[in-house]
Amino acid sequence: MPYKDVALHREAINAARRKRYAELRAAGVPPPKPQTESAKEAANRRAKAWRAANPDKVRAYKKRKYWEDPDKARLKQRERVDKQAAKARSRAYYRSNREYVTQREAAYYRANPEVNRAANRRCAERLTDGYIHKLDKTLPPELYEVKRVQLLIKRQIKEMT
Amino acid sequence: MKNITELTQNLTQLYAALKDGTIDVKVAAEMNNTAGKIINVQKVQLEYAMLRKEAPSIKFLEK
Repeated sequence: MPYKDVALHREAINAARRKRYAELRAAGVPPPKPQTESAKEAANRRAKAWRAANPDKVRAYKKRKYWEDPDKARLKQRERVDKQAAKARSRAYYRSNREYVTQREAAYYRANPEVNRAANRRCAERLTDGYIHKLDKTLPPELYEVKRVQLLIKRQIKEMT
Repeated sequence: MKNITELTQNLTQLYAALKDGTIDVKVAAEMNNTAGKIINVQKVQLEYAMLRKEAPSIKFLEK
């Protein structure tokens, strides 16, 4: 619809509305009360009333009522903050003790060869740089250098054929 | 080839030759495959020693 037609259409709607309001005023109907809550607030109020009337249909995560119980809300917020703090601490620790962490991981993977075996095999098949650099996690350190060269050659051959 | 250092050197030369194109790809593949087998044998030996909590003296790994 061209803009001109849209404007005319709106004007027609507004004119009809004005006419209707004038008729209502003439008939002595009181004007509507001013709106005190937004559409979202009204929807929330209706949903809350519905939940109160139908407790058996309320889903589990709604039953927790974090938004109604300030203690629960605070607990949830604290959990979130704790989680973030733990993550930050772990990251800081890893950064400041990178060598130790890598060695510990290497020892773990050497002691538990069945862990992550499928992922390691997939990486080995792809012969990615990541895999070649991570070799010290699965290999004895004495063989690291030579295995790395061997895999580089293998990848080169793969690319050439 | 007496030890692991020589094996690494040989493999490095092989890599260079492969990049230059002075060696046949099939031959290089076979050599590389054999090197892989040697490495795996050493790996098994080391793991075996580790399981037995021994510190073996493997001649091939000595520099």
